[in-house]
Amino acid sequence: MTKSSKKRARKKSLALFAMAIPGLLYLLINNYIPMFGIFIAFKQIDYSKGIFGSDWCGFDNFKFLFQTKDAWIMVRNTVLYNLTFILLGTIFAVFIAILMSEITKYFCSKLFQAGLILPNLVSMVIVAYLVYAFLNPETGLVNNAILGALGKDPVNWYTTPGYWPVILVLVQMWKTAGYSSIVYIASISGIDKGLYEAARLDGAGKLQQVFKITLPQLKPTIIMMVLMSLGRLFSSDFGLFYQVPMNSGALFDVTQTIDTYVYRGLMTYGNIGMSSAAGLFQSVIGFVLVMVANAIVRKREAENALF
Amino acid sequence: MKKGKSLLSLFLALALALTAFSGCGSKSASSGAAASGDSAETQKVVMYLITFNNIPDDYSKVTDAINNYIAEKYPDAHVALDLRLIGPADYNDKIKLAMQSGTQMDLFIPLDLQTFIAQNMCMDISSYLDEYGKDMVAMINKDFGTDGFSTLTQNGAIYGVPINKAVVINPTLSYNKEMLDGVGVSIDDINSIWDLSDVYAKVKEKYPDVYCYAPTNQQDTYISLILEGDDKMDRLGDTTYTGVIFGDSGKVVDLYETDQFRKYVDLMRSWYLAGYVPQDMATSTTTAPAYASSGRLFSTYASYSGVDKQSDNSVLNQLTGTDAYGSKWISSFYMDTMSTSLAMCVSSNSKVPEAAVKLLNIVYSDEFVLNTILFGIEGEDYVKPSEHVAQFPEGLDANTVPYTAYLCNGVIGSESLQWVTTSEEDYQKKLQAIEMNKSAERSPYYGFVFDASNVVNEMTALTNVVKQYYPGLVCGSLDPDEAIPEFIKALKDAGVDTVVAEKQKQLDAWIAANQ
Repeated sequence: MTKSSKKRARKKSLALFAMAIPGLLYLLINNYIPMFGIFIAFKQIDYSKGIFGSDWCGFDNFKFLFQTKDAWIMVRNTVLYNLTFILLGTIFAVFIAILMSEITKYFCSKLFQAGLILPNLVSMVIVAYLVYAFLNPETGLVNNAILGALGKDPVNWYTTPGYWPVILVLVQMWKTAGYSSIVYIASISGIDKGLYEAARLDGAGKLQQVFKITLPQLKPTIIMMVLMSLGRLFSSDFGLFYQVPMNSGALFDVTQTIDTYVYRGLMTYGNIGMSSAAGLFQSVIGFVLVMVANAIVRKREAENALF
Repeated sequence: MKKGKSLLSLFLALALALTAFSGCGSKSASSGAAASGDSAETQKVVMYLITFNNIPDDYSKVTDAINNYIAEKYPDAHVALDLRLIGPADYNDKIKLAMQSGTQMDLFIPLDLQTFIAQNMCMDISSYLDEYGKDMVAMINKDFGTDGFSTLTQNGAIYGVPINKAVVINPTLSYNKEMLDGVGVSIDDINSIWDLSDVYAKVKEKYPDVYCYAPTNQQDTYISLILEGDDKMDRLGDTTYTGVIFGDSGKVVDLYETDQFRKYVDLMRSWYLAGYVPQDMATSTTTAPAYASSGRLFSTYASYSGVDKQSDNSVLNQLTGTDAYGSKWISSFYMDTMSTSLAMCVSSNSKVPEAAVKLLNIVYSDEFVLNTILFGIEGEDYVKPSEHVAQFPEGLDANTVPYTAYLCNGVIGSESLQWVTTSEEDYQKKLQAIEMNKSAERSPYYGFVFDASNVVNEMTALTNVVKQYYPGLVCGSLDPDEAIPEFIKALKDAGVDTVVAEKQKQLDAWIAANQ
């Protein structure tokens, strides 16, 4: 490389770097600086000594997470719900994206897109009351209009755990599928139109085009999105699991996740050591999961791995 | 075009950088302490006060008035108040933040005393009280009794000054007078919660669209109030009720295994099954005042204050703007180990603890200082139609007046010195209510303070178990025959026996030390 082209390349990357500065700063301030607080998870907090001066207490702060059989229930709920969300979420999002990409009228496609994204903008608290309007045992739509018309007995939804895995998945899909389809819509629009043209000339139908062209072309995007969501396998949308079931105790067996457990348990005692311990536990497991999943992908198809 | 694009991206980058930083700045609070600084040794005491009124942008005028008064009236004290008003939503966060960051905060009100003591946030002020807190202690002895500090004392250390107010609030039934007449029952025949079922049956028959009972507290039917009043239950320092004691038995028990608990749960279950109560009570956020406003409520009970055993008026009327409800005590007040835990504490990293106690001494015993904090400046923020009444000036109300913190009356100082906003008659009633403090029945374990630090893991787990079963049981939507055994088993798994044993151990030690 000549000197001038090197200079030019540096100049170019300098401009790119300058553009990245705000984002990097944001990451640094929001994600990296607060990380110093990790050590609080191993401290017995004493305010008169300050955070740094407090005594170390080893893994004592982690004990409460494993105190009862709740530990198993909340880990099971968190993981199973998230796996379901990842699986169904991906399927729905890709499905919607394929349908959307077939809409050629500009006005219609924008209208549908707006309609699909709207639920994502609605706060979970409001979603909770929308669900409540359906499921209220006395005045709700389901008990009055649907079950009543079918001649069935009303169900007291908020004390019957059995229905909630389905209800929660439905709510989550309604809220997020439209939004997550955007990425897929973008990648579909990036697929070379020539491929479809060639396929049509060879006599391939719509379904064949989808399975033979769209899906294989989408695969890297799908893998990347799934890998990214695996990192959050141990986290949960607090609003979904706390607000939507109206914090109903009778449903805890199917709605308790690590986040809600920590919130409920520590609201009363406000122990920041224990809260940090729970956060650290989630992050470490999430980190391990991403690394493992990525390693598996890299072994099979190196070009699709995240890193 | 290209230039335009790069300009745009620069602008966006800038905007992003700015928003990233904008969260970091903080508005510096106005300081009103400087005004009285004629003496070099005057010490500034920062008080974080929780307020339920609007917070004015600048209230240095009020603190200046207080500090000028203190400098004149108490020239030897050399203290100045720096008041910080904080709304209830941020209060807990703000005091914890001040603690962690080392910002000066000398006086504050812990919202959960036990946790604060366990994390060493409150200073032991026992050594300062005798010297600097004489007037305050005298006030508390006069209004409350000589055991006012005992709930804040742990192993000889005193962690705060109790809010000196009327704490006796009897469990009160509020009922719709017209409906009670309508079913032909006299209020004289209703004396306890057990008399209600028959009345409810009649009300339900005559007014099918009305709920006989709705809770005043979300997801709770307040059976704990009745358990305290009727069965003399002492909560022994925590509200999960996993280690309580009945009467003077000396034996700590898990409430949920007792017959007393079962008795009330069965009653609530019968109300639920008969349709006397809202069927979604265990999850709903709608409470009695909302049902009352829409005319769909017959009765509720709560610890609504009132000095009359029986009255044609009820707190519910004030909350809903009607006069349909009357009230009657249906149980008695029992002063247990948790009835008086609201206190003002000196923070453990305060640099000026003597000055803080001196200032508290003035706030608790000086009518002018206390009422200036509550009502502001005479003529601007309030007018005084009579000696103990302060009202907003003509044409102003709580939202338009320059300064008022009158809703803080329950969290600061001595209530007997506070003016009221209504009438001299109400002021006299308030004095009567304060008078009841001394005669109120006290638990034999009054003064015992539970230290949960050895069982914090168990307590956290128990809190979760209780939240899972308690609302459903006390609201009647769970079948007690199935749910109670499950509940008890889950509590055992979470370590309830350890907590009961620890409480028993501490209680035995306390009994031995106090007899």
